[in-house]
Amino acid sequence: MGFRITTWNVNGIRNPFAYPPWRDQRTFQAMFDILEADIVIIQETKIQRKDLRDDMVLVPGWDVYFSLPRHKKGYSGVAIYTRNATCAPIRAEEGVIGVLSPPKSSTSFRDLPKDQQIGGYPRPGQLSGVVDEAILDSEGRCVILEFPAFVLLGVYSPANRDESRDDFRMGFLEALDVRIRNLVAEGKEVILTGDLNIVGSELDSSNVAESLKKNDITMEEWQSLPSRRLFNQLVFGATVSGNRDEGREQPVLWDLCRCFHPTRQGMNTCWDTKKNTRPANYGSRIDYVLCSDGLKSWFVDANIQEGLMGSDHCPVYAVVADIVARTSRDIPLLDIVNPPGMFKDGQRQREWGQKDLLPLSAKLIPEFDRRQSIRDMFTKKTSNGLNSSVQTPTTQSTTAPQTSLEESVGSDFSRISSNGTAVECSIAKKNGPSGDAIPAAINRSPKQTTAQKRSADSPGTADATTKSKRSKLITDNAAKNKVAPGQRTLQGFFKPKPTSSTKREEDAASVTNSTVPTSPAQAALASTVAPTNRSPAKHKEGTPPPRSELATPVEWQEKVFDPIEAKESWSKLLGKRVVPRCEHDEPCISLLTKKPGVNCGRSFYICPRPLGPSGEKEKGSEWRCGTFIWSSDWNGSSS
Amino acid sequence: MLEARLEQADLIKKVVDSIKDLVQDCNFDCNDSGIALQAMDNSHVALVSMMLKAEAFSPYRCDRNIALGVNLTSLTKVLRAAQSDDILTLKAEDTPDVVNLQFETSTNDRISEYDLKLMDIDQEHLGIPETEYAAAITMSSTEFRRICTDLAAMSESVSIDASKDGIKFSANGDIGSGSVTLRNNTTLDDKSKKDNVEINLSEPVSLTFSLKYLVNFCKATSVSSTVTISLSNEVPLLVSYDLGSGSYLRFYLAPKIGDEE
Repeated sequence: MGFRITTWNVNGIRNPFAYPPWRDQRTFQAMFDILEADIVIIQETKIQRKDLRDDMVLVPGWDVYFSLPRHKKGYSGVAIYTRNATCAPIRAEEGVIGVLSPPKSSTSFRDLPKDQQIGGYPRPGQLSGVVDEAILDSEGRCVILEFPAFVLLGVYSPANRDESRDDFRMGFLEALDVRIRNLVAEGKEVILTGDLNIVGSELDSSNVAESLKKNDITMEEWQSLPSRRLFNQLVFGATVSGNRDEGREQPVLWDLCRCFHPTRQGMNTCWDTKKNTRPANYGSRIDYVLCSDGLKSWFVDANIQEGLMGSDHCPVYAVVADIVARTSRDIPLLDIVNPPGMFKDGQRQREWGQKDLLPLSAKLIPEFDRRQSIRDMFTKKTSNGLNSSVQTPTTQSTTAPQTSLEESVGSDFSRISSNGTAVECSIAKKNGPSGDAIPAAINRSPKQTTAQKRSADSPGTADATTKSKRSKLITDNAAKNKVAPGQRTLQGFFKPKPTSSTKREEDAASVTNSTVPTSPAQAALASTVAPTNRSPAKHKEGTPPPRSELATPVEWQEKVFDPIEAKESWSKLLGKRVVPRCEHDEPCISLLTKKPGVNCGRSFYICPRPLGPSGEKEKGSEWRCGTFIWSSDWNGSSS
Repeated sequence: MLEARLEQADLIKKVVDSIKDLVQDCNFDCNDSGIALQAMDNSHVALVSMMLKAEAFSPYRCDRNIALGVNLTSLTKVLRAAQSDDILTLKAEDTPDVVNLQFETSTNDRISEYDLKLMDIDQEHLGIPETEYAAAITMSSTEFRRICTDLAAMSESVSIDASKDGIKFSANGDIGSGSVTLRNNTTLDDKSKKDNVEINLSEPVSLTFSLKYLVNFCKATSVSSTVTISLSNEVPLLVSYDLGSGSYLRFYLAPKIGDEE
């Protein structure tokens, strides 16, 4: 079945939970099980230490290592989850260079005693030093785990955003390159995973041609851009123009997805959400699983999972065989992705225990450390149907430490009970309209109800009414966000009120216009000026009040504040704008100009469809058409 | 049919306020002996147990067992409409969809009435065994709150050591360490009685707890001038606020496992 390593830039650690299939259970355990992964590397967690929650740290059967930014909040961030049942790292580090220090220590990783180091730290002179070392490792972009078989780097490399970040980006990539080469030189095998934010070759991106045109560079120049050149010198089989740089004479990593899919086009892992380019697969391949030469033969598969939603990236994985060739003989992988002695010949020799936790494990963050469940400290009073139906935690991973074992039981309970409720609800829905359910509900004794409410596996008809009421409550809540029923709209107040309104409007007139003279004649004089000067809405409409209404002052003033007219002007202001339609005759979407320049901040309308595979607006195709209308040039209105 | 009249709405207001951050939804279980509540927090580390005895109400009537499933945030919203010294009456049918809350000014000249929708809550009920605690400290509730908040500034957890020398709360954190030691101090003087510290110790005990939760418990300080903290090995810590006439608000907290090696 293999040992699967999955990397995914999730764009916010909870982001996937908004999408199927993750949204059904909304737990990391379920997510990782669906991914069928043994190690999951997550980038762009976008979370602060203080916002870490039980459900993301105390994942039953999993351990986790975070690297979060020191200063910028809710940005970047890398996490590696490891499945306790199949693997356990022997060392863990944060940062590429090793300048950071383990929790509760002031000694940096690279200054630890040799036997506690992962090694391969850049030596003096190996880095250009344009950006300070401490800053390079301060953004939560790298977690490194060491297993007896290999060193695994989980990386979120800086994006190529603007020139102000170029130094940082190159500094980071340079440090990563040096570290990997050093590790390989020391004889360690390396797996590099993550969102590297580098397109290796023309085959790996849909927009190379566009980018050449935009930046006015040749293909060769594009190939030689510093970050791409660095990456291609690192990877076997990549094109490097001209002579290789000093210290980068040999490639050291295999691009596993390409190894298994050497000529596949459109193998994109990242798309532009704003432009909605995923449907037409106009994107680029910037998420990788790379391995050093000695490991290449271990891998049996590598691919992208472009069908899995949840982020602007898709998961990318590689699978290691269960039995791998090492030096002279074949060896079960489990023996060498766990601490020595934990597995022998693929059989577990001892359980994973609390003391196997490495200092960097998030489970040791004070808030989560040594957690104990109060539920287990009290014996349960009643073991009703629901509880007894859950058997002892034999099915759960036997490798979990005591605490997480308890946690896993806990989550089992809750999952089953929530399933139970779901079943009940659907039954209730079925029974709701049927006639006999209601009398049954009336006859029940309250005690019975309570009992049945609690037991999920015997949902009688008696539950029907209660349950349906509950679901009703939920819909009520959902409706609360919209305008509450019975809430009148502002427009309602501007309906004509022929009789009683006269006096009020008279008052209003004297309030709004203190210069209106009191005598009717003078009032009449002033009023001919008033509408044009004072009410811009009317002015726009160009409908001056009819002169014929000047008969009596009262009647005349009523006309100045003509309720129907006022209503129209209000609805003009408040009414919903009719959006233009594109060439597909679909309502356009409105966007705001972000590009600096004279038009920055102006909104405009374009076709709502996703961008086509060409990356350009297309004429007469099913993809985005050329419709473009400045919002200020569009006068559509509903009234 | 439930009908319970409380002279001072204040009591319920304060109780609900002090637990609403720990528990979101819970059942108020009503029977002929009173109104009880038991709920765990999301992480299953702490447990709230409240008992309002029938004697706390006048009159109190509840013929059948009724579970009122309430969202505490919603309940807080309704209770905000009550003045502290309003007379509060709770009413519910035998199989209720709503609970009715009536607030009446003490002068009887203003009556407001609210119906709060109920929900079905599948709640697990833990049997809390009667326990002989190795150590029990009764002290001023404001003093206990002060100790918790002061030490929370130092560390995430506090270790509580009860020995014959007294009771010591100590916290060890990144910026340093701190501790507060209390000794037995009982005077019969009524005036300073609330500052008494009464320690009952049958055997020394030392346990570590999360301060985040203790600080949270201390939101109940306003419900009672004194608090009793009870500890034993292998048993959750009990922080108990007495509400008079047998009623109480109790918090239980699971200690942190083992000691650091």
